[in-house]
Amino acid sequence: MKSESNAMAGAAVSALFDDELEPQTAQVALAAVAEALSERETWRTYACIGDALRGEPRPEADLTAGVMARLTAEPVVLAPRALAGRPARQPWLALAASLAGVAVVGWLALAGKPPESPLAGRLPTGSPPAATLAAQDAVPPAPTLAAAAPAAIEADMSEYLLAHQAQAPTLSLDQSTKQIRTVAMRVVQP
Amino acid sequence: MGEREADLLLVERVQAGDQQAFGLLVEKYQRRLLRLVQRMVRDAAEAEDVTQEAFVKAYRALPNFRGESAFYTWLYRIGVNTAKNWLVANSRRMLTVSEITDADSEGIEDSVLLRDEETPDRVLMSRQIGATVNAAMEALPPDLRTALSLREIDGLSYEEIAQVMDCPIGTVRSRIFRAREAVAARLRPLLDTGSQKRW
Repeated sequence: MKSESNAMAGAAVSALFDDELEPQTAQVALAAVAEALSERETWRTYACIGDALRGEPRPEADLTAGVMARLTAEPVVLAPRALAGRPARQPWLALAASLAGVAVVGWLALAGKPPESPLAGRLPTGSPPAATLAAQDAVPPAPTLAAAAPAAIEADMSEYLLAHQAQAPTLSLDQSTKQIRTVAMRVVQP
Repeated sequence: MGEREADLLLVERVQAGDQQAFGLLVEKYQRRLLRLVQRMVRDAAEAEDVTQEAFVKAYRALPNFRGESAFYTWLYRIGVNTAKNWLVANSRRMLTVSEITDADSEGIEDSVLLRDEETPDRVLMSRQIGATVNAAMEALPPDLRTALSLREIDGLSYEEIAQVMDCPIGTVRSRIFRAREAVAARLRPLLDTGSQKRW
């Protein structure tokens, strides 16, 4: 009875060696081979028979024993392994994050806009956008100067406003926009 | 179940912490990988060291193996890279490394280089094993001998052998097993069992 079951187990190992077992049977046979020294020796002997029949040379050293000895001597890595069934990222989260970002930027741009300055209407209509922005940030004395000044004085005032716009109490978003336009204005002016 | 699926079962066991299952993979592929490495590293002893190193690297990288390619294809790349690194480190001339491609992984036929580097002990052992196996094969009943030859030498599947021999697959399985056991009974005294017990 025992020899019969041994023969069945041996036949399973032989078929497993040839990759000819059904997956479920293979799991059981594989566990037996991996866990039992006698089955591993059988596996090795079968490999040796196949090599000999095909005329393949065998390595001088026992490579398997050498590899396994090195693996046994290696320190155990205690780092947790990555989760196999890690859920995929949900795409709607990215969309929601994008919409939230747009909403925040929009709110900063619109809610932080300062009230219209009286100086804005007095500056020359053909002046570049930077002048308008600069005028919005003008300090209280500016309208008086602008009202009486000719075009040359207005230009000087614009430079004055531009030079001091960094001190203007505006939101950071507006300020960054001003800086960009200031650079453009300086390039255009001779 | 094909080779790929069978290997994946072994890989999964290794990934679950069964180190012995990796020994089965080493036993299964060491000669194939050794032949590959031997084409690049001429010295037989050094080729064996490189092969061993490749297996150790494969074991370390195995947690990242997801089965997108066959295990041997993956192992083959590790073997080639390990041999290349070894050649660079040792400033040796690389033998047709650029010509070796993945396509070669399944069909490297030449073992001439390996044989050139064989030591007398190895030659003697190989001859003894070969003679013992041949004698055992000669002593087998024809059905058993044919079944095992068709499997090991011609590489036929059980289904193909069943067609050739006009018998059920179960009979093929039984014949191959009985043939192997008969040959193994003669071969075991010759094999070094002491070293096997280390894994």
